[in-house]
Parts: sequence; structure tokens; C-alpha cells
Amino acid sequence: MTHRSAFALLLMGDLRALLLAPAQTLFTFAGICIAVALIVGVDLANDAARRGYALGAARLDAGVSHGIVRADGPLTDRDYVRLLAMWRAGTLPGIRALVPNVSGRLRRYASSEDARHAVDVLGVDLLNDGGARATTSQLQLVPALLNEPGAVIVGRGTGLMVGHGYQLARANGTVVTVQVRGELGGSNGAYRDLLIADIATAQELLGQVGHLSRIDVALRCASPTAPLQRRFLQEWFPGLVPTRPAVCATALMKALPGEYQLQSLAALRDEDLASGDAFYFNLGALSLLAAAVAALLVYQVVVGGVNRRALDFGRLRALGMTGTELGMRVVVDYLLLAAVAALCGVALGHALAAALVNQVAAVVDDLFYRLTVTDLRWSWLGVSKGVGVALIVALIASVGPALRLARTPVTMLLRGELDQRALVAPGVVALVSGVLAIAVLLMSNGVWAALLSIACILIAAAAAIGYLVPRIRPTLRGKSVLVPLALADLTRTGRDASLALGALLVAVATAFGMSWMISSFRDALQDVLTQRLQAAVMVRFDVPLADLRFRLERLAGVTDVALAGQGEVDIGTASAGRGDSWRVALRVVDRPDRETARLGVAVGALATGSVVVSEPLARRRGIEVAQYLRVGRCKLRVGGVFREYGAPRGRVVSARDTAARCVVMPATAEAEIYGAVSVAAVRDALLGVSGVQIADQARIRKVSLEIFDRTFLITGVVRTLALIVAAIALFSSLTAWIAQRGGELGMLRAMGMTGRELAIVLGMQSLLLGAVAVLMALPVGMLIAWVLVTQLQPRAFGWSFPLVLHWQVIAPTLWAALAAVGAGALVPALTLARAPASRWLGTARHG
Amino acid sequence: MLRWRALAALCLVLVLLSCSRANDEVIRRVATDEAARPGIAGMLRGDEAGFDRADRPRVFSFPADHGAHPTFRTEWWYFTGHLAGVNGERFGFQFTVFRQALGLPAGVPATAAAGRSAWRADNAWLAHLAVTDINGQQHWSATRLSRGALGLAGATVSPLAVWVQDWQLAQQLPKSLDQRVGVTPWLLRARDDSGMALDLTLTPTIAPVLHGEGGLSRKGAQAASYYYSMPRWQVRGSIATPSHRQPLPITGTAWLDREWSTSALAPQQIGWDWFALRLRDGRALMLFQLRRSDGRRDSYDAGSLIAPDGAVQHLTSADFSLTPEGTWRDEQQVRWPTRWTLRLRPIAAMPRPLQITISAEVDDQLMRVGLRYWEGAVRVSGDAEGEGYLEMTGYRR
Repeated sequence: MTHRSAFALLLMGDLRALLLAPAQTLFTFAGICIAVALIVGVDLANDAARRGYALGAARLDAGVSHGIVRADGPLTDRDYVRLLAMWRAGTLPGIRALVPNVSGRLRRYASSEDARHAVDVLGVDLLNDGGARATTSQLQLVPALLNEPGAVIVGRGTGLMVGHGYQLARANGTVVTVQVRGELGGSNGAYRDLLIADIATAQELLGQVGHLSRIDVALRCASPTAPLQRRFLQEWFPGLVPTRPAVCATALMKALPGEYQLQSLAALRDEDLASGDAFYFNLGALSLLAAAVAALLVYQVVVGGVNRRALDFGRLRALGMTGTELGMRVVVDYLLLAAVAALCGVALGHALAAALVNQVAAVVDDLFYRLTVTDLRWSWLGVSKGVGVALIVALIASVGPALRLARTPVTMLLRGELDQRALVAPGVVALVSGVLAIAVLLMSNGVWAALLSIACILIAAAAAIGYLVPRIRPTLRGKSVLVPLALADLTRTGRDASLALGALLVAVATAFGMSWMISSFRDALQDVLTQRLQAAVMVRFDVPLADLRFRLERLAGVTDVALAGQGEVDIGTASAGRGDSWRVALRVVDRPDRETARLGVAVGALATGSVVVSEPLARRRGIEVAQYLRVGRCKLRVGGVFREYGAPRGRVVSARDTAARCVVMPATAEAEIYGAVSVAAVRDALLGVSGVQIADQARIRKVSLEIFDRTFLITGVVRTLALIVAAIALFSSLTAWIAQRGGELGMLRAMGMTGRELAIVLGMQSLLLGAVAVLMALPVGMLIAWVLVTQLQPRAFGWSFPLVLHWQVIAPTLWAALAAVGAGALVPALTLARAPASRWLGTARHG
Repeated sequence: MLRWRALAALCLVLVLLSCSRANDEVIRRVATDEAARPGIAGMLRGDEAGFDRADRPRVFSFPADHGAHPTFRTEWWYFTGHLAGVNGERFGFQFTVFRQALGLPAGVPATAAAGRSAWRADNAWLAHLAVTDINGQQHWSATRLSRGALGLAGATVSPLAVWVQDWQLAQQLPKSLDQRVGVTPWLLRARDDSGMALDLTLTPTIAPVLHGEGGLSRKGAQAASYYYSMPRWQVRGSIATPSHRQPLPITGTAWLDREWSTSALAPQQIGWDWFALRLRDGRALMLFQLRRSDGRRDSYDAGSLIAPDGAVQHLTSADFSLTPEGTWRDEQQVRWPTRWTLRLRPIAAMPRPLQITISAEVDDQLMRVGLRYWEGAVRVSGDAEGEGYLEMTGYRR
């Protein structure tokens, strides 16, 4: 017989063996399939949300990362021609595309002052190497946009109908007419209130002929290629392992003529309080939760499946198959089953993601510029996570029972029982895992160490419950003398249940940990929002405005105006050489007193000669308060470290007088207006100024928290899914456990114990065990939250926040877990109570 | 000839609108999606009213006809050639500038009466640059796109200049008396960030040759263009490639095609194969065949046999046949015929039949610049030897 035919026979035999117990095989198959679907579905949906955020943050920029503005006033068409010529002549290095644009706002109703009745107009060069970006899907409209006066594409949901003309008003009241030629954006309102036109049309509509708002720059430098290990971590733990942005604008900045400034659009976006990293991190936490629960489900169904087939295996042993052969066969069986189920799970996960993505997209739509990403993007490394978890866990889960099968006497197998003596003492596993969890945290500052530590904690907890369960010796008073017998039996047969309880513990503990982390994060975000958004109104400018302060201060109700510029600067430690520097975001403020309160640092931290740095920067570079940094041309003292959940590269804040000596001063980019002033009043004061964004700070604070909570709702959805999966696993295990005890339970019934007594005893046993698992999950959850907040986040993102144990946030999880325990305990017990004694005696006889 | 550069030009104008990295996937999909073609073709057809049409022979006038013809919708300046370095390096090059009218010759109207943006343009300009390293068996291509506004792109007649951003083709002003009485060279300068660069001085050695009926080249019952070539130019200058970034002195020969029209090909004409061949005996051949969707030969296939002294014999579809002999398959599994047999029956200017084999110098000379087409250097063997350029479009998987 050839090897190939022997292998085929083995496969056929495996298949036949699996089909001998179709219900059990189907259950195992379904469990693995659901587990993989959970991982793949959540990851795909998260990825869509992540891309949605990235695209939303980039808006229509098609990969542009920087923008060029003039330091001394608005850009003109000639500036673009000049810079284009310099780029083409090779004197501006690193540029991939120069994309001019003009933007402004028109009122839909000439008489209305309401911001909701305004539309943004964005003019892009449709004949540019850099691309028309948003109009990619609207190629057929390009001739109309280029040829027809007033032709625009409108964001879906704006309320302007395709094929119709509308009259809009400029700030000075001049009425212009637009012709709507097409729509852009998804059904969720992407690009709502946005009109996109060719740059010529936009200049004419906005009355800005000859002027540009900004020249966007796409850089040629590629993002640094992460090593495979890091890419693997990024795909398997998305959001928890940050990607490193490319830093390549330095040469271009140096080559630009002095009258131009290169703004990092990323640095400007980092100012968004609902920062991208926070958003990503939240999604990453969901992903981790889904993966942990899915792994447990796979483990459960595989172990349960093998145990339930003990009788079949016993027959094979009786027919002459050795223990080793049988063990090998079990492993191969379940690996094959896991592989096929995992593939089905990938397909099912796609369907799940399609359902989840709309929820995620809605969040992105609301928070981040209303961009919708509802398509799902596949990545082999990402999909490998679901399949990999299924295969690895199936292998681990099947090896244990396989070894047990190998050593279980045939007579015992023929009774449908397995030798339940532990291969490795659970106490030892718990101890080793616990020590390992601590050791990896102490030995490495890497993100992987924190993740490994969490895994070790979960394994230790699961093993600990395996150690504890057989040692639980409850006493239960009852009429029957047989009750103590039933309870005593728990010690002998409780190991199977301990697997299920371990799974429950890990699922609940992970859910607790995630809930605490997220609620703590929300608290911290709320604090930061309260600090940062003290002003009534904030105004951002694309183009510096010379008489800005004058215009704002004369407004009624204004008590103060704080101006700030945003830019970039090279910094380094005072002792480092000039070459050893890092480019970070720079914020220059003219009111240090306001800024220190805003950042929550000590008064005086921004005194002359001092700067404050963001926490991520301080952690990453080991910067401490009172240390001296080289900032531009000067050595400056670090006056404080402020908390920040954005700007992963870091940010330095300086007072204007300090910055003036040391760096190229960025143009004023924003103004915070204090006092009792309305957005409408500020808008009036800035009528006719293009490239202005005016925001009501109180509304931003409110909306940011609302959106955070909505993101949290998604967390809740995934957490509920996880708990349902855990409950299924628990239910399955307890049922299997009771079924396995059929022989002895039947004997007890035959000896006179009533079905009701037996059900009560077993139900109480199960409830007791479940309650122990859920209670154990509390400290384990705390531990996980502690590692996530104090170890993983600082390592991954450089930020920290206080861990606050909000008990109310875990209450739903707690009740849900106890309900799962109750269902898992009572349903099999009630079934047992109703069953005739002969059924159990039969089990004993056959077993 | 009307090689449907017009089609390529506007397709590329449209496709390159969004040639940013973030949208590459979308672009590829648009560029290769069969369903997208009718829309693009429809745009190309557009409204021809208001433009002049190539529908009768005309009197050509030089140097004026080297310049732009804005009353026609589409035109191009098209150089191909073979270059050689002093150490045996061999290169092929292509430099093309397309003009496509965006609106009527009268001009695109402004949105607001109060002011007309300087970005308003009547024409879109697109340029392609490609270099083939024959010894190294490599090929590179690049593109530029701009509107005819703000001086970003355009054309002038006196002195002749055609440019898209920094890529330009211009006639050199005469520096000496012998240049004034002789022929003024043209300059071609183009460089790309990839390292590809051409800095060439091109001197014509033959007067413009008119194709078809005195320069009227018919492609269908309703389609025709004005088409002339200058098949032999002496070239000197330098070349750089991404693999040899240092400019390398070269000499060589080049071919210029000029064509303008308003009409487009018929819907059943799905692609074309175009040949520009220079034979060692001094003759030159221009041939094109239009491939039809029904597989039948198109009666408007045509060509020109150009004698060393510039005398032209017009060729009809009955005078020649082109048979593909070998193909190369690209990454999208599209097969491109890179080896052809040309059979030319005896004609007045050539009493004996001619059979030659035309083979690509490098199989992969695919222009990956939005719309994909094959354009590359070929060598000629058989009854005659020589070199030239081949262009193929409209091939599908």
C-alpha cells in the first residue's frame, strides 16, 4: 500500500469516525465555526471602522500628509505655479504630488444665519497628477465639472437634487448659482453639506479668483516597513499595537522658500480631542475580547467533543488500536475538523462583519467628518488570525484528551469514561503561568510582553479554577442520605466542569477588564475635554489673518482671546548631537497662563525658557520634568508633562516669546475665545474669510462624549456576543459533565434518590461552581484592567490614565454571566429530573 | 495616423484625475473594467459640433502645422526612436504630448460674471514618457497631466514649443548662419522622479511626409484625421534611466508623428496595431490595422511606404497583411502579440514582394500609465532589416 493510499484510508476512517457521532461532530464544527466567525467578523468590522476614521481624518486628501501655506497671507495661483516649477526642477525634494485647493462656505439661503443652512465648497484641480480624489467614482461627471459654469458634485444627504440649479450666497451676500451634476458619498451622509467642484468653478463661486486655500502635498517617502513580527502583532492585535507614521518632510521643509510654511496635516488633526489612537485602541480592545472568547469556545467544544466520544474510542481500542494510535487519530480528527470549520467560520465572519460594519460606520459617520466605509477589506494576516486561533487551540485542546485516551484502560473507555487524572497539575500550571505573567512584564518593555502577560494571567486563572473545583466540598442538608454521596462525587468528576468554568472565568474576566479599562478611559477623556475646552468658541484657520485678535476682541461678551500656532519642530536631548533629533508637533501660544490651565500643568510651566511636552513624547524619549531639551536653536527646560491622547509622535508646547527665539514661528492657526460669545457672532466677525472652521467648544465636548459612548455601545454588542458564546460553551460542558456522570447518577436513582433531589443537588453544584468562577473573574478582571491600563497602553501609545473601578459598568456582564451559569446548571438538571431511572441505569450498564 | 491616441489621451486624462496612491485600486478597476468603457468612450465622442473636422484634403503649411490646431478637438506630437551609447548601450524612447479640447473652441464659460478664474482652461494636456533599455531588457514609463492654464501646459508656433509642466518639446532658435539657412533642431527635455530623463537634440533629415490622401488619413466612413510624419531625425544628447541615473551620451534616430482630428473611431473598431519602421536601405514604413469586434479585417487599414528621398506610396488594406506570430502575457493575463510577420505585395514603388518579421526588443513594454497599452521598440528582420516602434491597444484577456 502506498503512503498516499494509507493516508486516504486514514482520512476516510477519520471521517467515518466523526460521522458516527453526527450530533457531537456538528456541535464541535458549529462551535469552531462560530468562534472563527467572531474573530474574523469583529476584526473585519473594526478594520472598516479604522479605515473609515483614517479616510475621514484625511477627508478628501488622497494620501496628502502636508499642506503648504504662505506665512504672510493667502496663497495665489502664482504660488502654485512657482512651487510646481521648483518641484519639477528638483529643488523641492520628496514630493509625490502637489494638489492645490480652494475652500470656503456658501449659505444655502441668503437670509439664513444658521450654520446648518451652509454648505462647504471644496475646489480641487481635476486635471492634476495628484488626483481629483473624491471624484474618482464620478469620472463620467468630469467633463461637466470642467466645462459647465457652476457645475458641482454634492455630498449625499445635503438636500440638493441632481440635475437642479440652486442659488447660494457668499458671505458678502453675492448670489451665485450652482448646477448639481452628481452625488457623492454613502447612504449614511458621507460628505453631507459638501460641494465639490473644479478649482476654477470653486474660485468663481467663492469669489476667490486668483487665490488658493492651501497646496496639499503628498510625499514620496514610503511608510517605514515594519518587521514581520510587528506586522504580525499589528494584524493580530489591531489597534493595540500602533503603526509608526512616516517622517519624511524635513528635507522639503528646509527646501521651501522662506515665505512658505509646510504644515503637517497629521499634526493639525492630532489636535482633535477624540483622537484616532483612542478610537483605534477601543476597537483593538474589542478585537482582543472577541479573540479570547473565541479561543475558549474552540477549546471547550473540542475537549467536550473528545470526551463525549470516549465510548467510540474505547471500541477502537478494544478492536486493537493502540493508545498512541488512538491519540494521534484524535488530534488529526480535530485538526481537520477545525480546519474545515475555520474556513466556514471565515465566510460566516464576513457575513457577521457586514452586519456589524453599519454600526461602526455610523459612529465614524457622526464623529469623523461623516465618511462611511462599508466595504470589507481582507488581509491574509488578518484572516490567518481566525484560522490560526482555531487550529492552535484545537491542537492544544485535543492533545490533552488524546493523551488521556492513550492511558485510559479499555474497560474504562468502554464505559464511556476517561481517565480524568490531570496530565499536569492545575496548581502547577496556575503557579507557572502566574510567575510567567509577572516575569515577562519585568523583563521586557515591549507591547508583546504586556499581551503575553495578559494571556498568562488568563491561563493561570483558568488553571486555578481547575485546581480549586475538586477541593470545593459543600455540605447540603437533605432528607436523603444519598445527597452527601452525590456531593462527594463532585470531587471526582468535577474536572470536566472545571474546563467549562475556566472558560467562563476567562470570558467574564476579560469582559470585566475591558469594561473597566474603557470606563476609566472615558473618565480620563472627560477630564481632558473639560480642561481643553474651557473657551466658548474655537476658530481654526487655513490662512493666517493679520487682524484676527482685533476682530475677535471687539465682539460683545468676549473676555479673552488666546491665539495659537501649529507647526513642527526638531527636538533632541540637550546632550545629544544635532543629528539625533526627532520631529514633533509644535504648539505656540500667546497666553501661557491660559495654556497651563488648559493642559493641566503647573502654573509657570510655560515660563520663559521652558516648554511642556506631551506624555507620549515624554515616555517614548524618557523626558522628565526639569530636564533640558534642544528645541530648534535653543536649550529649553521641560516645565511639565501634559496628558494627551493624540499626536503619537509627541507635541511640544511653548510660549510665543520662547518660541520666537528658538524656532521658525508657525502662523497663527487657531483662536480660543473666552466669555459669553456665540458661534454666530464669531461667524459674523469673520464673514468673508475663507478656510475658517468655527466650533462651539461645549458642543464639541458633548458630542465627543456622546460619540465615545456610542463607540462603547459597540463594545457592548461584542461583549454580549462573547458572553453568549461563553454561555453556550458552559451549557455544553455542564451538559456533557452530567451526561458523563450518568452511570453513577443512575445508580443513585436506583438506590432511591428521587429525580427532584438529584436535580436540586446537581443544580446547586453547578450554580455553586459557576458562582465561584464568576466571583473569581472579578479579581482577575481587575488584574487584566491593570495590565491594560498601566502596562499595555503606556507601552503601545505612551499615554496613561488612572484606573477607576466602576462597579456599575460591570453589572450587566455580571448578571449575564450568572444567568448563563444558571441556565447551564438548571436546564440539564431539570432534564435529568424528568428522565426515568432506567435511562441512567442503562447508561451505567452500557458504560 | 489616428491611433486613437485621442481615446488614450482622454481616457488617461480622466483616469489620471485620480492617480493618487490611495486610489490606485479604483483606478485599475476603472481602467480595466469593460463596463466603464462605454462611459469613457461616450465622453470622448461628446459633442463634435463647433469643432472643425478632417473631412477633405488640406494644404499643409510649415512650420505653422507643427503647432497646435485648437479648432480641432484632439491632436498629438509623438516622438519615438532608437538611441545608442558609445559602449554599445541600446535604448528605445517614446515621448508624446496629447491635447484634448475640454470645451468649444470659443472657450469654457465662467461661473460668475464678476471674475473668470485663471484655472479655466480650454484644453487638457497629457504627456507620456517611456524608455526601454534594450540590453538590460527593462522598460519604464511616466506621465504628466495639466490643464492649458496658468502656463502649466500648452503649445506655441513661433518659436515652436509644446510643453506639459517641465516636459517640453521646443524648436531651438538658430544660433548661426548655417542653421538659419539649414534646418533648425528641436529640443526634447523630460525627466521623471524615477530617474528617467531625456535631453535630446533632434535634427530632421527629411521633409514632412503626408499620409493618406494628401495628409487626410481615413479611419472610417465618418472618421478621419490630418496626419503627417517626419520619419528620420538625427538625435544626439543624453539619456538616464532608473537603473543608470547618470546621463549617458547617446546618438540615434527618431520618428515624429503629428495628427489632429475631431472624430473618433467607430464602435466596432475595438483596437489597433500601428507600426513605424525604418529600414536600413533608407526606406520607411508606416502601417496600421484597425481591429474589429467581429474579427473581420477593416477596409480602412492603411499605410505608407516612404522612399529614402521622401517619396510616398500610399498603401491600402489590400497591399499588406499582418500576422501575429508570438505573444507575451502581462500580469493581467492579457496576451500582446510581440512578434509579427508583415507581407507586402508588389506595388509600383516596390516591384518585388516583401516579407519581414517584426519582433519586440523587450517583451514587456507595456505602458502602465492609467490606461494600459503596449508601445515599444521593435527590430525588423527577413527580406529587409531595420528598427522601429509598435503600438497595440484594445487587447483584452
